[in-house]
Amino acid sequence: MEMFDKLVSIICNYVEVDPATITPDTRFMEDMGFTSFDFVSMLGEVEDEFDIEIDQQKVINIRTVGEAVDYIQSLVDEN
Amino acid sequence: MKTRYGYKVYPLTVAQKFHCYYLDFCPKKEVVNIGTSLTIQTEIDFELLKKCIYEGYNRHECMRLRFTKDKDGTWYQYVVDKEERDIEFVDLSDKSMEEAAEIMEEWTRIPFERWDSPMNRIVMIKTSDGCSGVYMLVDHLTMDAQSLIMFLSDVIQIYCSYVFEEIDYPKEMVSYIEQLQKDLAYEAGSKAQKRDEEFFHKLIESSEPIYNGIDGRRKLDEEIQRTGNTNIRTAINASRRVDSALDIFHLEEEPTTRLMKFCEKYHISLTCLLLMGLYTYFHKMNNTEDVSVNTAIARRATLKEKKSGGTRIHSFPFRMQIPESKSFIEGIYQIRDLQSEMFKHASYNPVEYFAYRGKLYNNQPGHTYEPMSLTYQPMTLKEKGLDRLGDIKYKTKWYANGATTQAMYLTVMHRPDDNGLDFNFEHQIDAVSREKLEFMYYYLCKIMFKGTENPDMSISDIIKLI
Repeated sequence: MEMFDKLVSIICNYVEVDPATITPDTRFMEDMGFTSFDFVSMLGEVEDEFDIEIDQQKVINIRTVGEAVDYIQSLVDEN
Repeated sequence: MKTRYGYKVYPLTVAQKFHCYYLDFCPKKEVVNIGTSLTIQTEIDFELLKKCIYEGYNRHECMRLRFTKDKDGTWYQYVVDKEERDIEFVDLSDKSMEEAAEIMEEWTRIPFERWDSPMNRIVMIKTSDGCSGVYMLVDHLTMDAQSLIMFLSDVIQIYCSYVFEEIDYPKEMVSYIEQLQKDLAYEAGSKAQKRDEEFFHKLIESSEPIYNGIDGRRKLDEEIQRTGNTNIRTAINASRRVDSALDIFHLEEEPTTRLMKFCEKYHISLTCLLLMGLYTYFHKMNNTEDVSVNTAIARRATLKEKKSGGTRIHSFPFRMQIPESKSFIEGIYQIRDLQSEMFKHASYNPVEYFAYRGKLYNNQPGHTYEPMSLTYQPMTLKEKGLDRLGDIKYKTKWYANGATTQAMYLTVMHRPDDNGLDFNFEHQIDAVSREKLEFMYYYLCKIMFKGTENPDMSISDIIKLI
């Protein structure tokens, strides 16, 4: 499964959203109603799923699904 | 104990034990009651509503929760199969709205029978403003505000699905027991629990906080004078008498929108802005860069957590040490970063937090560092089902239970009818007066607006200007 699809699948554990409507430009908070607690918790699941360690300072400015995919992919590649 | 009346029993979670912690010594057991009403300006088919409420009981396991205790006094919980009580109906239409509110407030002040007994009460009501709906009372050990809203919105959606063809029956809820078992597994010595404990121990050990009062250092100075100990950093904040009042201040829609737009622009939560406002207020009043308040974390991230009901809130002290030379927005970012760290470890037992800190700094009974607690409740009934009612007007109201063990508890909520913000100050009558709250609310708003209009201005300059 592509990174994007994997992340969409994780996102759907947190908010009620039709996965087909999620695009790389979809924003976590404004479009999908993520709270900051949802977002931090989701990152925990992402860390476990991809066996990576997320730098809190680097994810602070992530707003869209595409930005999250790029960041996670860069950590997976580093591993 | 393994079963009760044939039902499997489970230990209490730490979120539930937290309530037991103050329930134990509070003389007024209604301190854990949460009362609310929801009325709609339309004719309601009460027979149909009753059917929908029963369906709600079937769908939400936490609404069928019971408590029991064994010979040693250890508490357990279990979920019964069915709710069999009749749903009451009370016609309040011959009373004024003030009288009706007083009656519902009285209902909110009646404690539940604790053992093997239902922990909620639902009354269908009709009021003199031409509205009908429900009054609902729940025990905080079985539900928090978010699960209460979830239940009410579920009942409304069920009702609407029977009345309006275009509205679907709501999706299934999530099992409370299933989520409970997950929480209990975490608490039974998991690796995650160890990690969370290490985080909080390190945070607590960093240095001792200091008490700040709503009206300045008076209480701390009194404590220094009483003990002769100039190094003392805690004070008695709450009063002996637990009688409370609820004072609500309304922020209109337009200024609320300005605050929300600021949060959106800077990608921060309203809680961070509120915390920054409180930090600046206490800094101004106490002349210190070290401010702590208690904050509640709802702990509902996954859909399973959001839809499983129950009570999940964990409250922890939130300590802000922000140099006054920093700008308002830098202060908010510092708060956001600490909050994110705490979110990651929020499953940790708050009772253990207070016990560990109390032992480390030799806190005296009744002493605290935190002058108040803050909760931001983002969820409203509007977004959870009532948007389907179109132009039909509706009203929600929360009722005070008349008792609190804390001096002051601020809950900030969105008003569903106009999207403004309500600042609900529940406070001990003997500890904090309404006048002091008015003063604090006035400055809190002034700080937040000055700061959001000038995010790069230093905290010290903001304090000088307000």
